[in-house]
Amino acid sequence: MDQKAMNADDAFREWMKTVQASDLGEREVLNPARSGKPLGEIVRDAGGGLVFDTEPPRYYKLLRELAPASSGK
Amino acid sequence: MSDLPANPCDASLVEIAAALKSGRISSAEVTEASIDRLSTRGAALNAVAGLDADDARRQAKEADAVPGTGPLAGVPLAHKDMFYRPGRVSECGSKVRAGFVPDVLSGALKKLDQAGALDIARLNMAEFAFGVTGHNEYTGAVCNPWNPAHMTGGSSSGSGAMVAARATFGALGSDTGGSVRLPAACCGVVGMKVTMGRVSRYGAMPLSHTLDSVGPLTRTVTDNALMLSVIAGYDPDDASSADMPVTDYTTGLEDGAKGLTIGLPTSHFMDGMDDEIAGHFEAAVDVMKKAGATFVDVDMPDAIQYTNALTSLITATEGASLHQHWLETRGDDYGAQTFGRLAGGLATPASRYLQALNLRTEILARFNDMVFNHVDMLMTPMMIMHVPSIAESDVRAGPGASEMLSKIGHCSRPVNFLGLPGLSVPSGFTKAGLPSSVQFVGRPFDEATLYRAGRAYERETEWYKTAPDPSRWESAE
Repeated sequence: MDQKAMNADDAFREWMKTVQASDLGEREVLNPARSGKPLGEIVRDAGGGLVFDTEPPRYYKLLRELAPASSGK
Repeated sequence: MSDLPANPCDASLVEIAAALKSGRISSAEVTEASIDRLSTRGAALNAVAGLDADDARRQAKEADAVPGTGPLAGVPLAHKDMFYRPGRVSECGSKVRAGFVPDVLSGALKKLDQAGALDIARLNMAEFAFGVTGHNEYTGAVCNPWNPAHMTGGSSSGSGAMVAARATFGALGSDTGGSVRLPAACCGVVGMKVTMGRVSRYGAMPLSHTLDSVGPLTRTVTDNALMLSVIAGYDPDDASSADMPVTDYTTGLEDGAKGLTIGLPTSHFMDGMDDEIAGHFEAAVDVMKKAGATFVDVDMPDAIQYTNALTSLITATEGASLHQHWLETRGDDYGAQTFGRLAGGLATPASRYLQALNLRTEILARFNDMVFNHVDMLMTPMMIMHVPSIAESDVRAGPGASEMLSKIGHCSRPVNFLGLPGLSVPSGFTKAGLPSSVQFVGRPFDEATLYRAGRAYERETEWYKTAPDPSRWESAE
């Protein structure tokens, strides 16, 4: 492994230790079986900047409101 | 009333429930036949995780001694190995949970118990329900009854295989990204992914609190409606359970397709579809048109193209939160794909995860405006590809794994992200003799209309009358 890759792995492992309190490193966590596209890119592209004033619990309210019984259908 | 087939296991769930109720057959007879099929066909297809024949016979004897009045009285069923029953092992397709004995009763099993059903076997599944192919590096892949060299789909792989192989009349599965509908589609049976909150998830192994749902796999749409009528409804033990009225899903089933307006998506769901599968889908649309349905093209929100990946992100992140301790201490006990996908969730930034959750409201609102303001439901292929072989879908954690899993879940995962109901119904067989299926996607809590459409299609095509040829496994039996 070259120096640059080793440093990146060390940095990632350090972040995992500091933030996640985990000994798992880059090679274990950044596995090919996970989504290919960067996660942040997916979320950013899907959002289109329209999610500033929503919060997750609103979803469940909307789901019930859209039921046929609620909409009168 | 029609005669029962020579082997009662070849009857439908509705037929066998009626025969038991009328006393034409005993629960002991039906259970013995099911034990035999689960033992032989289950072993041949690697679909059974556990079968206690003595306990099954005890349950049947009790059912015959005091005949119940419930809609499934005396009917033996078998379920995915993740629905907890006190005192019984539930291994969730994993080495990590080998020998695990829960002390709670799953909400769905409780309702089936109350309806008089017997619970006689545990069925194999993808490890921790995290896999769409039916592979399992610990228990081995479940084989497809239509061709044992092909995958069953997952994660409710044993449920799909044993329902298709006429070894059980119906089975519970769980669906986080397609895990009821994909094995139903690959095995040529009917699978319902219910609206979020429609069926209790209490006592069912969690993978993603946001996306998990519990639903039935059966041979016919009518059977599926009967089983959902039993398991649907509010459960005070499940905080996410919806306190919404439950319909008897078996009424209105024969109302036909006339009067239904069905949307055909102009983007995403048909993108990248195999030519042969496209032909099957067009033929299925023609059947529904002839049955009286009106079809309208409907545009999708642009964001629908991201929902597959967003579903994967949410599942991996929430799964990682559940599995972190075991990932760190028992990493070698996981299959490579399960480990890799769950461990990947540990690196999801919390802000991105919450943004992904927030997007559900936005995208559902847009989807409702663009789709359900114009049509009663959406019709899509269930998979855009043929059912691959076990070998070609054995991607584990290698290069191409993400692409393969995304392609298999292309039409299923968006429905989980939105939390809508989706019904998978068989639509014939490819030249290779493997099933293809269509999916009906409906408004929240409108499973009844999906059953009506599915039954209208099934009535015209009768694919459910074709059974897999068990001589393919005779050497194993």
